[in-house]
Amino acid sequence: MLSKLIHYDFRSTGRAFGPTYLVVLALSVLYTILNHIPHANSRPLTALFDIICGLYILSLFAMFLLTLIFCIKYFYDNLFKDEGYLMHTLPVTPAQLLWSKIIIGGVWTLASCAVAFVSLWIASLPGIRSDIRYDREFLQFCQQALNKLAENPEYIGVLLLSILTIIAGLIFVELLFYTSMSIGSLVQRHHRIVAVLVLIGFMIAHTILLGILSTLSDIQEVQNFVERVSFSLNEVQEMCATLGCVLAYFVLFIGVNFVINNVIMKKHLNLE
Amino acid sequence: MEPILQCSGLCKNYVGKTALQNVNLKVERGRIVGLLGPNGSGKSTLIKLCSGLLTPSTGILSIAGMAPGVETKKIVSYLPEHRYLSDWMCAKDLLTVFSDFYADFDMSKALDMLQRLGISLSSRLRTMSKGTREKMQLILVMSRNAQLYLLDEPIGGVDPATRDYILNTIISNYSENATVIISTHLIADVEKILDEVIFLREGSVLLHTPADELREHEGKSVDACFREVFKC
Repeated sequence: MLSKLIHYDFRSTGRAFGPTYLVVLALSVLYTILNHIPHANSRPLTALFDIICGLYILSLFAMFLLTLIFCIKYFYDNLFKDEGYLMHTLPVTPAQLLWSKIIIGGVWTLASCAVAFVSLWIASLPGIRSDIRYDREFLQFCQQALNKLAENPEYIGVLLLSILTIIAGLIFVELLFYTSMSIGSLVQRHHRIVAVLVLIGFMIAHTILLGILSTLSDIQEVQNFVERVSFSLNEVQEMCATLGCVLAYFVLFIGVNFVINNVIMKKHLNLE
Repeated sequence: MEPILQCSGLCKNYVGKTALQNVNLKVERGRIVGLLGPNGSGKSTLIKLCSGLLTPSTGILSIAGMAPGVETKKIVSYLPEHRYLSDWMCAKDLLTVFSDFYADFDMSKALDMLQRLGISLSSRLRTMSKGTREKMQLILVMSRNAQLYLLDEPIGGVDPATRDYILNTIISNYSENATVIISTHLIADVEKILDEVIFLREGSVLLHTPADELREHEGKSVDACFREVFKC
């Protein structure tokens, strides 16, 4: 049933993401084409190039913003508004509904990252304008990173752990929004305002929690312990340990948020 | 066989409001039941509780002997009182969704009903008229071979011809062992198909009786009884 839900959710959301990705890729292609046309003496062409360049950069920001907004809106509309009458009467568990939303949110975020990367690669194809340097720098950066990995294969583990931590971080943020909206749905009026207030509350709580953790790390005994452990570790192991701690924090709160959402949908659903 | 629906001391409270209080009901299989009451009497709340969209504050609710959950959703077919399907979907998409998720969905029955109504498989929900959308929703719900159909105001807001179509569809598409619960306040239109009636007032069951018995006992139609009981 989960695979059917995911399929349904992808179909519903794909209609919005497809055109967005097409616009970003089309602008990067247009940018590259204009970058290949000699237009030093043509003011209209130069102006067009500058406009396309600006639009392309804007489209990249807009794509990430839209990804976040659309995933959050889809979660709310699909589970707590009219469409919820269908979703919550399907023979599936609330946990399956939740997993489906988490998976599609995560996949679309990663897809947006992939589209941004591909579009940057397209835009970085060597052109004529010598004053635009960042494109070549992007290619050079990618090349250097790959070379470094080939020289030091032990960093592949760090890279994989970093990717895992980024994905967990994305799911953590996604669930923070979902939980806020689920809690907001519990009240009879002003769902959205309550959801925003809950979200602000969560952010403050996490800031305080991270502050406490950072204060704890300043305590002499803790510092001594960390130093003793660090002493026995090499650079790679130390990076893995740090990433592991961040990952554990994300995983813990993914679990907490998942349970809150699941309990609300299972025991306190309030579709009116 | 266990009754298809059983409530015992069922209550549903919202903040500052009691929607249902101490509802005790037993509905047997193979009946068409009218859930009747004025606006705000708790009809939709009871139906939503049965379909698992709300959780009871207190009391026991069982569908075919089970508490509402995944298993009961497999045998309950629910029609909400308003639009609940994605506008961007076409008729074919909707049929696919229902046949994917509900094992009891009868695709040939749905296709047959669509064809008789002249609804094209490629027409999108957003382009359909209000009446056609209502019919489309009803086709999806009645194409399931469910054990319990919960229809919340299925004839509200549609023209008399569409009402007749909807009522005929209900009568001709439920199996003998299935129960249909219809919530409405348009009693005159549904009265002829009802086996039982439940009168709800301010969240409490005022009356639960066979429709024929009520007519015989009171010497008037269910509609007339309703108007008398709920006179403002």
